[in-house]
Amino acid sequence: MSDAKWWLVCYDVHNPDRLRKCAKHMEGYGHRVQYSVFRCWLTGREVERLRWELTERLDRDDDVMLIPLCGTCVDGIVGIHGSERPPEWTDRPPRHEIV
Amino acid sequence: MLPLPVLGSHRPPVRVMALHALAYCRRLFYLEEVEEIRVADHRVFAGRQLHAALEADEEGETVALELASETLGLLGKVDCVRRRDGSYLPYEHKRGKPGRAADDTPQVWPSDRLQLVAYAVLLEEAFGQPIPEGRVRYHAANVTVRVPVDDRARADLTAAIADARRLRETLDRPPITDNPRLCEKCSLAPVCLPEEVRQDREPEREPVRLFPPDRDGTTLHVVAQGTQVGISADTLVLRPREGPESKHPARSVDTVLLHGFSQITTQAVRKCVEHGIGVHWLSVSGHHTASLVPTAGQVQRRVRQYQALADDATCLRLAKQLAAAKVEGQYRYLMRASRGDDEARGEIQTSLNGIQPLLGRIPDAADRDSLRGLEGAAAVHYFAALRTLLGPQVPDELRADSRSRRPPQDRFNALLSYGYGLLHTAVMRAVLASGLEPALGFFHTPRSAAYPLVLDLMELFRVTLCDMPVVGSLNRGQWDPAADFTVTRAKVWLSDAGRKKTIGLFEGRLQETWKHPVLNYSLSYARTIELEARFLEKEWTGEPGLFARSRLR
Ligand code: SF4
Repeated sequence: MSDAKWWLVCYDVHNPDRLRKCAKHMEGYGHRVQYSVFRCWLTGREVERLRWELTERLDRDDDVMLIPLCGTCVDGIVGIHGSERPPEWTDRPPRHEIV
Repeated sequence: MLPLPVLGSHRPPVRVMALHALAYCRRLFYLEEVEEIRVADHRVFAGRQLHAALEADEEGETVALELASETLGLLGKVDCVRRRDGSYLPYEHKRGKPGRAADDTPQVWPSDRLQLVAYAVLLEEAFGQPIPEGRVRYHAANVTVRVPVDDRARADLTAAIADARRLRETLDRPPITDNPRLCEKCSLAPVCLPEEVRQDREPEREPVRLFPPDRDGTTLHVVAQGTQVGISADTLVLRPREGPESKHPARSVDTVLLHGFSQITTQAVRKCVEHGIGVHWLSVSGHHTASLVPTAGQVQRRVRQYQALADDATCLRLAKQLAAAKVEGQYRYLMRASRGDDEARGEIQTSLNGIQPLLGRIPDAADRDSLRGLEGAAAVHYFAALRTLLGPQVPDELRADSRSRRPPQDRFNALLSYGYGLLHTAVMRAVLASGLEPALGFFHTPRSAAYPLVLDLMELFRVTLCDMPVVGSLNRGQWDPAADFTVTRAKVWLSDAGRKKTIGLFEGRLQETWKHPVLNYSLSYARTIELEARFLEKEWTGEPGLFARSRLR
């Protein structure tokens, strides 16, 4: 429970049908940052769960990578056109949101 | 202890996975199988992942045979069976490492052995063939251990099934295991709280910290009136009347609080139930209206609670612990707030002098009525002093003449009332998460729409989670007497902006971490509430003495 951190989940799925399914599934876990890249705040348990669920939904030759990011990694993120870290990349997600 | 009422004669078979839990720790079996508390940890998913990978890799294995035996009363899904020389050989794949004998030879763990033997016996019955042996493969060590299915193994299996049956029919939760190392790998440790109990029994011990310091999911407060909460795939979609919609991945949400007049679709409610997300409705003034939290299978916990709280002596004992904690909390806060400030201390001293003798009389109170009297008298002193903690910089409109509850007559009381409303919901969440029945308390009497047990537990947190942050924020000048409040002759309440600020203040406080003085570890206030609810339940499940012990320093 307390071992949560940011994970980048990147995938390369070879069939459009599975690709759509994979993207839909990922939306339940985190936010899309690029076309096939999601950013998720996951505990160890959720990482395993997600791996298992994707194993079930995807084919053997589809590729998925789950990359853990530590605080230093997140702080070090740069982009082009001004190397600012995108504002949504806080060191951890908010504990509450008021809408 | 009384047996549970048996409804009909239906006795479902024992699952093999449950026997695995039983051999690991009898209490784990009880919590999972009887009380139906299941926290699937990462090992479960990682195990499935391993099986899925093996399924594709290994040849000659039959996969996923669902087998049941009437005679044994056993049920299980056999994952891997090999055929060798015409006979069957059950295999169990484990991610971890084997145990080691004194001479370092790899050994099967007792729980794995029992599981494998159960599969072997199920297969024998299904195929009508003797199965003299099985194997357990430990992938982390790349080791396979042979397991004989002999008479001793069979006798152990029969004994385990009988034990499982017995446990299913008792209300007695088995004690925590003698082997603390098992707990470090147990997914139920945050619910079972074994280290807290051990530390209480042997204070010298260096406890292993198993209770998570903070919650993980996000709490979504839907405040804007008319907002609709819907669902798209596994994403909660919030559509306010004005402005853009926002999306929240269901896995990242822990709780949804609907304030006032917002809508949630049936589909979204269903999704919340599926993901274990609690949904709570509050009125515009912050009062709890209703909660939706899946609470199936908690009959044992509730029966125990009824039995315990039907007893006057138990209620009085708990009420004394609670009242002492509450009044002492008030006393210490006043002391602390006026420390080093002679002028403030002068005014507060009268109240302190009033509270102290009341505090001393709590342990000797003859019944709950007199206890309520003591607590009420202390509260009068406390609120008189609380007002004087506001510094000279706080404008007159934000001060209070007295404690007016419902409806609040001034801004100070409006703030406190709204805060207590939020606290009520936070405590409700903890009570439900712990499997307790909120309607049955031990101190407050059932009267209004509020839940007695929630009111009881709230007493432990009013000072730290509401009074202190409210007074602090007033002294820091965070409130705008005009914009944050709506004032009529009949009552004063918070404006939209004021409510959002209060929610932010309260949630910020819930997230703050502090060091528990008895357990000696840090945790957030949000987790502290749940900890106290679980400690309360321990008062009548054989591990008393932990409830209401923490104090403001
Ligand atoms: S935490 Fe320890 S005592 Fe509690 S169920 Fe798990 S193994 Fe048993």
